Amino acid sequence: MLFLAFRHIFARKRQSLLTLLGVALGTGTFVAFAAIMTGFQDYIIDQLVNNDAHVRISAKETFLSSATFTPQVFPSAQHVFWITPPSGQKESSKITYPLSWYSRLEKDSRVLAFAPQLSSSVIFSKSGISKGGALRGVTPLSQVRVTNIEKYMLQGRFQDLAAAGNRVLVGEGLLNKMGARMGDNLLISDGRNAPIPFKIIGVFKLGIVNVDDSTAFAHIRDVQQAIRRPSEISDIAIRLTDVEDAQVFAAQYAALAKEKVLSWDQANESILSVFSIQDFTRSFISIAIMVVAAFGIYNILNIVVNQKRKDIGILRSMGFDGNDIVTLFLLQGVVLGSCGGTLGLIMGFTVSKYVGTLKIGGMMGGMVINYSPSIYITGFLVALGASIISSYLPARSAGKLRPIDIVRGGE
Amino acid sequence: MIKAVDLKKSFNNPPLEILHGLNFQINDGSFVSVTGRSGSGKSTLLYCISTLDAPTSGQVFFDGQELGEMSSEDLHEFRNQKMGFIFQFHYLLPELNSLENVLMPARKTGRHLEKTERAKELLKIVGLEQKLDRLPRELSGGEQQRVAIARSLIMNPKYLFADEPTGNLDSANGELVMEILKSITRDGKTSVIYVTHDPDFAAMADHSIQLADGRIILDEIRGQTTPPR
Repeated sequence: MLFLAFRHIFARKRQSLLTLLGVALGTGTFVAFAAIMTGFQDYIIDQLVNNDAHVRISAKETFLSSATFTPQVFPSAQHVFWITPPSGQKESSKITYPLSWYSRLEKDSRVLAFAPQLSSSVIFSKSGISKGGALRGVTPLSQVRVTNIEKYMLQGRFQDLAAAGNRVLVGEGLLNKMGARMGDNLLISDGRNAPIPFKIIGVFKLGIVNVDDSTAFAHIRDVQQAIRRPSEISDIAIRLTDVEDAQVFAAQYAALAKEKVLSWDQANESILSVFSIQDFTRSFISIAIMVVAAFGIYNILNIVVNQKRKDIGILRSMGFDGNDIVTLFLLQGVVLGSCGGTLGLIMGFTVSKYVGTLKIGGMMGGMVINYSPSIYITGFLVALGASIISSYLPARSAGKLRPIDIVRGGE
Repeated sequence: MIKAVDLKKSFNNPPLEILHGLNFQINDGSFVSVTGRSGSGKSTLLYCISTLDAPTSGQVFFDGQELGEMSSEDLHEFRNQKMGFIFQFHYLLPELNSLENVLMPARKTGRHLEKTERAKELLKIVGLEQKLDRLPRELSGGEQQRVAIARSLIMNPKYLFADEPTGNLDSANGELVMEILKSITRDGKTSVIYVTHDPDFAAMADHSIQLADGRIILDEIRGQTTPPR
């Protein structure tokens, strides 16, 4: 029957070609869309996951209010009215007893590495230019095990920080905005203490603008000194052996501790929800295109089955049964679907290859494209599935035709 | 041998009995004409005994095997192996050339390669050895009908059914087709049962069945006469 199916397809070249193109466009769009969008999403997620911690423990900012003081100052009074109610924040947000965290994390087998940090908002200034930003005190050797920051170094190496001594790595944007160069000194102040010069020994670019424009890394001890918070830490960044554990891990520790424990996906919930909307839109558009292509197949085969009533009759009289007839038309759909699907995969691949060369956004070296086989497999299966479903209905009606009705019907 | 017992066929819409309980027998190797006016039920008779249509009641036996008892699968195989059909309109598949059309029944069982020589031979017998790769639309009506005959013979059927095989042909072509059909029965095993309007062609038969209003009014084997029942 495959033989005859091919003859049928080639006998109506234009229709077949159009159907083929319909399926190919649908599949191609699906593949290109998926490759570009998931490539972009994977890129962003990779950044979120690997440039920051999988799980971050950070000090809770505690605010003060009348409720904080009333029970302690007037434990026996029923009604307390403050003339000026107390307000404010506890002096510094710090992790109260870091050593207990360290020992707990060291014992947890899920933890690959962890790195204490002390972050503070600071003012960078150099020859009259000043700019607010964030200074992150890190322990360089553990920091590179927790994040991928090393990959994003434009100049210098992250480990160069290991030898303390008032040296910083700055984001590319920040470097440009300060009009500074490698080797220059940057004055850094937290606003309460005198500015301290830090020497720029490296430049990084994560591709996330608000980080690159305002962040500098320094050794944690230098930072503790500069902002006069000796031996304090504000965060512990944790990398797990398996990132999938992050949520469970965070939930467990959050229940135990008074610090905030957030997994990467909780910290970036808004971005992830945008992604899920993107995914939905993408599937919706792809499905719509495939439905249109499937209707094309359905329409054409329906017409063909009607045109071919006589042929069906003669085939039946030769001893071909209903299933053979169903196969004949189903095969045409499958052939069109799989050829169109294959063509679509090639189209999708070409388009995504091209888009991959475009430089959009802050990414280094062009758009990131997802070439994972699963996209191609899905695209092909959807095309094939749609054509099978849409050719099955006409095929089944053809299979049900009784030879006598056709033969007797004459011309 | 084909044997029909009390064969009845009626249609529901409008309710009408076409065949009123026919009994007859066709011996192997006979050349059988079925005649009668239009509406007398001759085509219906042909389709009922050739398995394309199911009789309302009654039985048809092929060599003692009753059709109604065969499974659909067996019936299709039987049709493929033992029967050939020729229709008034040739019904060739328009996408295939003469040779491929002739070989189509053999494709059902995947034997088209081993049958190729036989197909060429058959096309030679019907005088078309020069036109093996022509598409049906490139052939004349008579040539198309001859391709259809070659196709009906490819599986060496034991029974050949022809519904007005000459109905669409001029007399020269018609005669040619009838001569070919007649020659098929000379082996003494193959029977050809054909419906015709043409008295000359009907006269070529060695077994005539004449119908009127759904009843057999003449059932004559050359040399002997059986009274209509």
